[in-house]
Amino acid sequence: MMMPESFSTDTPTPGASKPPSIVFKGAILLGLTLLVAGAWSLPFLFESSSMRYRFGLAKTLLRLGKIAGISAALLLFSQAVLLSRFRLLERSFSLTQLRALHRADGVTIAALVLLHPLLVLGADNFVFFPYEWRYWPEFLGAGLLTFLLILIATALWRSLLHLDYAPWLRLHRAGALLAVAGMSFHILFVSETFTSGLPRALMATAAGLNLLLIFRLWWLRTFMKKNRTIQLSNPRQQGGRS
Amino acid sequence: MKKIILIVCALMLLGQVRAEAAEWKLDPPHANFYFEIKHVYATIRGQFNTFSGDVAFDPDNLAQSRFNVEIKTESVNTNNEKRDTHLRSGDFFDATKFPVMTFKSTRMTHLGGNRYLFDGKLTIKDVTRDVALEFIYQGQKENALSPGELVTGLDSRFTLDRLDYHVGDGKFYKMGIVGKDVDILISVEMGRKK
Repeated sequence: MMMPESFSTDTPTPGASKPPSIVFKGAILLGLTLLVAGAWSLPFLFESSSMRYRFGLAKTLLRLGKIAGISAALLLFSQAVLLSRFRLLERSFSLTQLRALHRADGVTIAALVLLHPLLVLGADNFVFFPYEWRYWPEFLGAGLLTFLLILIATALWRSLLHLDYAPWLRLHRAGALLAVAGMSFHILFVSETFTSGLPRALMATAAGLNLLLIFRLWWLRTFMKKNRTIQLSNPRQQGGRS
Repeated sequence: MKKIILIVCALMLLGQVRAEAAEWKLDPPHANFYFEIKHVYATIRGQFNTFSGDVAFDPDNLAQSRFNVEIKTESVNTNNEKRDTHLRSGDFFDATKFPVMTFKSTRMTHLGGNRYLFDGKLTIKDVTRDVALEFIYQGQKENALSPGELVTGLDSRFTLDRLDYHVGDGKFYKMGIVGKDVDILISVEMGRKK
């Protein structure tokens, strides 16, 4: 994989200057479709025992809640991929498009993480968990929901909140890492679907790869800052300092 | 003479006034409200972890004795988080709407030996029924770990039909998945100062 000479949005990754290939785009979209289809099939193919005891509307709500959660996880994993500066990705989509997708995904993640507990708890008539240690995955999810909403809100309304760009970006990146780690633990331990077998292996692999990707981005930024323009979005467009 | 008669009458009246029954405090680590129910072929055991009690028991003063307990339905624990979540839901206990279930004694009768019958009202969800629960009084003695304190114990085993109390609407019973008869064991230790 070729490293970019400078890690800046003003400079496309070498080799990415070729016109986007329809084959690459098609392959990426097909891959994404298969990925989403596969992820959405998990609650059906690896049904948890809680599904077996639900009927009618309760079953539908619980299944939809699981799909909302899985969708939020997929999008959260994709956030780092969108800004990973992979040549393959930049051949098919421009940096501006990738940045716009990153923001749009953030909004979608916020909606999905709000929907997920509403549907899951709705299946049980909104009976909340008692404050017992054994429900730590659920409480981790509740904390994660709040954390993600703050992370996304501060990104969307950074200029309105008068947050300076550089410190906000540092916190946003650190927060993203925590969000991915927290979400991975939540999924691995909250649902029987992911307690063993293929779903657990896939989830652990996806989490591990995503964390490696985030680490790679940090490494690139830290050791590739030739012209000190290490930014993944134009602060002028964001309303911050240049 | 009149004074002597008055004094004798007063002493006789005092003798008629009975002291209240001794009040006991439930010892939470040693008070248990267990239940067992059939799931297809297996017996599932569980308990309620959060409860409180107002107990005054004296085998020699049953008229003044009482056994009132309140159990939090959300504290149900069958050692399986998903199952317990389902038990707290509207399918079973509906813990949000009915946070407690209670037993309040109305009368106690000595059946002989160490057996006592506690008549009372059992309230689970939106149903209150008159029940008669047989208790075994284990006796009382000084607490070997806390001199100056007395400890006593009461046990009761009985069975009730959960559907009588709307704990479930019968669909799981008709499917042959969850039984309707619940075996209950109450085994409580209580203490008080001498």
